[in-house]
Amino acid sequence: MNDDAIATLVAANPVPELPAVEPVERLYALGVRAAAPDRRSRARKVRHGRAAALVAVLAVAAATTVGLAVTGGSTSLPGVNIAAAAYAATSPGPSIVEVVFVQRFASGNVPPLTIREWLQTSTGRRRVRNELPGSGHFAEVETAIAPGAVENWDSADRSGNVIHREILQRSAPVQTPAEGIEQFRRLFKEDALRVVGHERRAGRLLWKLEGIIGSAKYSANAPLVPTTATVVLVDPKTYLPVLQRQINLTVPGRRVEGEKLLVGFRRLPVDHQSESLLSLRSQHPNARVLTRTLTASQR
Amino acid sequence: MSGHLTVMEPDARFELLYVRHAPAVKAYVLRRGAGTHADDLVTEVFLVCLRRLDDLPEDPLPWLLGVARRVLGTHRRGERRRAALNERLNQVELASVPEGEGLEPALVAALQCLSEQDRELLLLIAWEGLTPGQAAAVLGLRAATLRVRLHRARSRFRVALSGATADASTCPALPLETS
Repeated sequence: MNDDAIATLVAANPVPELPAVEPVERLYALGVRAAAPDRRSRARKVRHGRAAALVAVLAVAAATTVGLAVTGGSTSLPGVNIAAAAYAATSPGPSIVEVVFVQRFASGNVPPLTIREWLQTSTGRRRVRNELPGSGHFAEVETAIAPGAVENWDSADRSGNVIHREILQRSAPVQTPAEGIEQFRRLFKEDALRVVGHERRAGRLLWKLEGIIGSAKYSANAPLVPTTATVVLVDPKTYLPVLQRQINLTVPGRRVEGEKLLVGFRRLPVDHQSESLLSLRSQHPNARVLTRTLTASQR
Repeated sequence: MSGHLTVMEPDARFELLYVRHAPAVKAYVLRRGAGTHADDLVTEVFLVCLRRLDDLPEDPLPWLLGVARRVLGTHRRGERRRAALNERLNQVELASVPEGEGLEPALVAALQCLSEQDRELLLLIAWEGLTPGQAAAVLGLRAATLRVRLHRARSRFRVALSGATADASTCPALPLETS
């Protein structure tokens, strides 16, 4: 038996790896919201309030203060974890977030691709629409993701106006594609982004974050080497990731393969109209729906 | 986690805390035998976190584990009461000694010979991977005090382990508490 007490215990750790946890949406589903105590407190003040008007003025002042704090004023606040702040700035919270990116490819004669994305973390729903100007295949491709199901629709689908719905069996690991803002959020969740400095773009000094998004082994016994990196430029005022750049590390000079520029970001209230943005069937009411169930081995 | 998060919107800050620390909190309660209640206990911990969002320290993990420790204690007391009502108290394992699968009986017996605080101190460092400073925050001790206790807890554990049998009722004589 090892003489060192700590080493003995470390070796006997019954849970050596961090376990998976239920998604934060479970807490949201319980009706839990971070802002709830504030709202209750404010309501009590109003009930008791001899000076309801004063409370309203204070509330407006507080909201303004929060707004200034979130945007960080004219420059980033000292000590702010930039990656964390950018993750938080893109968090839909109780609302639905609409994001628009324009993706430019460095090589090939490919026109810019517009990526529109709608996210609602409280329900785990997301819809992505890729728009490529001009006719032909891949003119418009949409994916809608909800817990347990993925739907695809393609304007150039040879089988016609069809929504292909794939039901994911419970045991099947859900490997849904991530683009745009969702890709950035996943990178942050995986702790894969590091602040590496600043970069000036269009006269603005932006935070520069970098992470590895692709790796490969060149032989069975060779170590895993990074092949693709991403650079994310974060606005110091809004903490929004205004640009995502993909870099090929397998060629000399860190070749830039493409860039996604954030051109739109807004929070939508949760109502019937904005919820319909998450649904392919709402967007294509005349489309046929073909459903199939996928097992783990088919994913 | 590095950096201050207080400038964020509460929902986003809470979600971030959950994403970053919920796995460690769940591992903590699982290592202490929470079993199928682990997810519910994690939820309870983060409900407390939500209420105290503005009071969280810069390094929130020790604070969260401290809450998890108290939530687990409350859970165990509830289990005891339920067990007593069912007159099955003596058949239910309720001690705060870990019940993880695959633990050697001699190791469990040695841990049972330690005081609750010695045991928790060793496990926070060995299993949760905390620094002595973080472990001190979980247990509400000063870092200097904790270092002394850690040294003694290691000694006691070594003695307990060398004399341990699967029968936890027969603990070897351990070095005395002198503080």
